[in-house]
Amino acid sequence: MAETEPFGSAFSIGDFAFAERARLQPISMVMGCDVRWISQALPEPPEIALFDHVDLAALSATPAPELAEQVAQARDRALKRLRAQAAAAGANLVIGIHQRPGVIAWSPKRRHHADPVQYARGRSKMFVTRLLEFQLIGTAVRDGAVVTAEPRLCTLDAADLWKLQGGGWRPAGIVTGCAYQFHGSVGYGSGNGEVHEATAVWATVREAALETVRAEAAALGADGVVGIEMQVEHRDVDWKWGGREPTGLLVGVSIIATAIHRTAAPARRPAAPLRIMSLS
Amino acid sequence: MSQSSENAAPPFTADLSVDELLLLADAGWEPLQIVCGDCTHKYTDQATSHKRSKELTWITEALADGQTKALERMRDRAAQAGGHGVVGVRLEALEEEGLRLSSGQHFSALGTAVRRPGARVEEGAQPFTTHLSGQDTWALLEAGHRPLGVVFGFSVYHCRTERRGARDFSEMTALTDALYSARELAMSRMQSQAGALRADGVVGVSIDMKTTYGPTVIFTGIGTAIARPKKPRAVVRPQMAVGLTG
Repeated sequence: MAETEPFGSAFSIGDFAFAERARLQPISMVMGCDVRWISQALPEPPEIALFDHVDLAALSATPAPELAEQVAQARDRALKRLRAQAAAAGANLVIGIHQRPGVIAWSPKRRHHADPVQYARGRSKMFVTRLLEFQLIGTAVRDGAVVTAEPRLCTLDAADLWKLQGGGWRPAGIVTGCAYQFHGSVGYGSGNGEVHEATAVWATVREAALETVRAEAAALGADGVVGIEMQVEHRDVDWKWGGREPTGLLVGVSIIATAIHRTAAPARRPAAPLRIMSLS
Repeated sequence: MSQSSENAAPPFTADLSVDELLLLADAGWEPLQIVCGDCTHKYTDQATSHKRSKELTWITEALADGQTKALERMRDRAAQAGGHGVVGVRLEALEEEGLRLSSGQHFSALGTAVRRPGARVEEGAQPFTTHLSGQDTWALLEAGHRPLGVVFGFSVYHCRTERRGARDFSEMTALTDALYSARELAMSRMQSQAGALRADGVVGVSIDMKTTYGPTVIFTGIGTAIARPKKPRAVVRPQMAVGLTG
């Protein structure tokens, strides 16, 4: 890029000022995108039972690994494209990366078993299908303080990076996590009470996504993860066959965050807070 | 830490902004991990009368039970992780759409477990919880106050039907009374929870009120119970500032 060419950025005025203080030179806005059709066959619902006392741990939800894997692939490809754009622009850091929500469609669909015996018995298989658009946008910058083989990525803005640097921290890279959990039959029984099957789905899915985030951060040699952006989606799945109408629950969690590591003792007292009375 | 290769501890995860992270570090607290608690709770419809206003106690109790379980599970996770407290607790209640239960809600509580290295913790003490942000928690700790726990109160209150003429532009007293009753019940329950924690007060209270078909009033109050310091600290006088943001 020529020296005289104007830079492009998603900076606010405050961010721009902090970028100068943090010695980050903005270059251009960069984007990574992946659009794909994803689908997974869902396991059939278990036999319905009414529970009086239930061991929550025994009611673990079923993971939907294909969905999680397909979303992770879309995200990884979008990140790769974003990184390639930044490298082509001569940047060694991309900041302020945001995940734009891009779900276009999602629908449960029934398809007949390929197995002719199952087909003859009137059994069918349920799929969830979805057109997924994964879009990441950030600002490519040149950080004079570091030399890296390829651009590092982070979700934090320039002001946050400046404050982190003051506290002796540096971004190690972007970390992500994605998990889907499914239970074929929730919400049965009458009266007041906890729906243990649904609780189990929710309790398992977030922990599974966070575990992936922790593992990715550990692989980067990071000391912590901040700036977490968590997207949660939940869908019901109506089976409706054979006189039974169980309702299944599918919950997905997608996380994007920045792993950080300590580089030195804090350069200054963190944040040096002032108590301010705002006039607005 | 450059230390990372030497440090066997897993990386922390924090649902905190950079400002919150640095402020809590300034106050001597370090984050451990994000902790969550979940509970999906269903309830049956309760009979109502057009002639009489009353609290729908079954539904109120079901909501309170779901919220309590979600908070307790989050606190238990924090205790397992070795946390002394949970800050920035976010409480969410997803209504039945999506879950497609006959009538029910999913309650979730999510916060960041934190600990203070070297702090003395009483035997069997549970981690504190607060829905205050890292900035507010820092200001509270600086002033010597201690957060004790997130407290809340619900009331689902059915309002009797009021017959009105076409040009009767007067107060709907039955609905006004129902709102007052729901608020009093919810707030008194929140204060009772604070009393059970031996708190001196409740701060950062947020209230939410919805009127649904019936009409039925759903009143929710959420706050953080705090304890005053034994020896009051000198409070720094705030400075006035003109912000440059629009």
